Amino acid sequence: MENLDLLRVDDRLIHGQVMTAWLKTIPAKEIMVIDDQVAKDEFMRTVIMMSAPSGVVVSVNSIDEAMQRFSAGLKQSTFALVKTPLTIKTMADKGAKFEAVNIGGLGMAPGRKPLFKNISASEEERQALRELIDKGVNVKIQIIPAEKITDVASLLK
Amino acid sequence: MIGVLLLSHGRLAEGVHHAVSMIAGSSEGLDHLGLEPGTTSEVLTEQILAKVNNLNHGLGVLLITDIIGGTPFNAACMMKKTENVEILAGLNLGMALTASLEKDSAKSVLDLALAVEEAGLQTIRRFAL
Repeated sequence: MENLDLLRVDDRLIHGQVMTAWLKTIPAKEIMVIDDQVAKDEFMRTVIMMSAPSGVVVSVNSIDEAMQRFSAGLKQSTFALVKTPLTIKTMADKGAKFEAVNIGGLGMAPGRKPLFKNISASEEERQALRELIDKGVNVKIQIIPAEKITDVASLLK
Repeated sequence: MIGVLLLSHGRLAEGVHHAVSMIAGSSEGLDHLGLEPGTTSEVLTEQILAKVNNLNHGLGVLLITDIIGGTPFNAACMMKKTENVEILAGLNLGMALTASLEKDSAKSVLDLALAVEEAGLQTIRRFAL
């Protein structure tokens, strides 16, 4: 998708200096947070807006709002941030075309099991990743830009 | 007395707490909590709530977290919904020391938060020697 320069899964969303490091590698103008729960939680919206690194616009979008913006076309270099691969699967099922997914943070939570180092995923999330990979999406784990890229397809075998 | 809780990934908060005790002597009313690998954010939130309840003697608790957007920071933000807390990010020794020295005299947890934020901004400086 044109101007979607990073589609990242990180359940912490905007993670301080980690996001700043990505912005140095890929200087996006906007961070689109896509999450239905966060979009309707005024308190979390405020926390996220206040967490924005300087010089970049942050927007909080529901899945439907994000889909509308994707169909209209992104006007400037954009990072999309989601909390779970399930959000990406939902958007892909609705017709969004993604080339690549970056897995940057999926913490331990009830129902999740370790996938790679400190990245964990539930069975449902693993299935969502498998489906994305089957659709030809390039799914890789890379927490910070300096880190070696790990292919997820081989971890899900 | 206003309570102060240092929050971090791993043992940073514990180490800063230890260093504050070395410099300031006692550190009553100051506590720390670190997120360890494998701990869920739900569990961390419960641990923070228990510490906040312990530290709150009616004037509230200042939560100093290590990094904006990190799991300890996100969990600290959750406290704001129900507890009388103020939240800062960017924990360093100068901030923790200021918090420890001023928590007994500050009029409110907000005043303390503003003083510690200012201290944090002042502690980072390049010395062009």
